[in-house]
Amino acid sequence: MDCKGFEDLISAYADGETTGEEAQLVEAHLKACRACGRRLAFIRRSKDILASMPAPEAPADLKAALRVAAAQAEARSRAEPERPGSPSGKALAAGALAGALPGRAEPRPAGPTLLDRTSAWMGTLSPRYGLAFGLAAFLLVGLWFERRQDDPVPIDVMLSAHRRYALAQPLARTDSDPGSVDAPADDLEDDETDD
Amino acid sequence: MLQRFVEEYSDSAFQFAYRLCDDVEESKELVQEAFFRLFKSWDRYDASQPLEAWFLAILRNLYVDSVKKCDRRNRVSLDAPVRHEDGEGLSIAETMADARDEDILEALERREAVEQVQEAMSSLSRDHQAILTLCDVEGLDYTQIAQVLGAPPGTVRSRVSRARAALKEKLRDRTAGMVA
Ligand SMILES: [Zn+2]
Repeated sequence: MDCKGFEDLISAYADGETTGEEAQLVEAHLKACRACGRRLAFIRRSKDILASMPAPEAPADLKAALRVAAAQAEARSRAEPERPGSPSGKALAAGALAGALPGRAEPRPAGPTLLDRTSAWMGTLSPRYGLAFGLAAFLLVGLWFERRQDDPVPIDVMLSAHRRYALAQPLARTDSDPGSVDAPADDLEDDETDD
Repeated sequence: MLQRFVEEYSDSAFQFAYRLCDDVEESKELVQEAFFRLFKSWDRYDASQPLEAWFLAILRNLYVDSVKKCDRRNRVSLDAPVRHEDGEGLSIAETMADARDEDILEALERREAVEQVQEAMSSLSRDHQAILTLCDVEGLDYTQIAQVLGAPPGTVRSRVSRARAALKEKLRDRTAGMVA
């Protein structure tokens, strides 16, 4: 193989992307060929320089918009079972980006998922069914059905979704659940009777 | 988690977009859209995967969108061969060129080397800049690069090599100016 044939190999060698056999081939050639030695030296040097090149920072307004959208998306996923009528975090995040980016964001209309519909339906029931665990299980089944329809979901995704709901349950119910430990009873309006 | 993701990866994402678009406003738009899409599908996040997997998805979106949306008016479109047009062994020009590799190397040892490389880099085609950014700036491996570019893994090796040849060619032009 001539030097030209070594060009790609030497480049890959510098990246640590050769097989053991190829590396041996390159090393043997380098012992005999100064031109290819210089080629490798150039690649290594330019790699070093590119790696240490000062990176342009993302502009402050871009970062600010991303932070806001991230916070809202996180809030949405924490408070997933939402009361009907409240603007969803998803919509807020979309709004934040669309606002920061007029006419370009084109958020795809996310039709209500089975999950959204399920939680909307749950919201119309009395808020005091107090079966948080059963609800979580129910939602999980709903989630499972929904996810099953597009692609196989690894079990850990389902579990982490489950954990999210489990965490969200007491928070969502604080204002109306008399059994809640965190809400001081005195501060609650007394128009609700305990069972 | 998302907030951490923004802090950790927005600069890199912007840098990559800027390499692709060569325009601050266009790059901002690209990055916003890519992150926005990620946030939308965030509930599918598999917590056992590293955040880097999502970063690759962002890079992929940036790359695809930049092809559609960024018009680099002043840029030559390429992956055109940079040299070797003669195609047979080492031409006289190339033999001479190789002799001058020492000049290039020497130039790269100097203090202004960083600016030299940066400028040479900026004058490359979108694809060459993209691949060198992924490989040498971001430090991705060939498999990851293939993922971002949507290219068969087997082609990455030669594409990286070609981009480097192009970079060297640009530096050669500059060095020739300095040495002459
Ligand atoms: Zn050689």
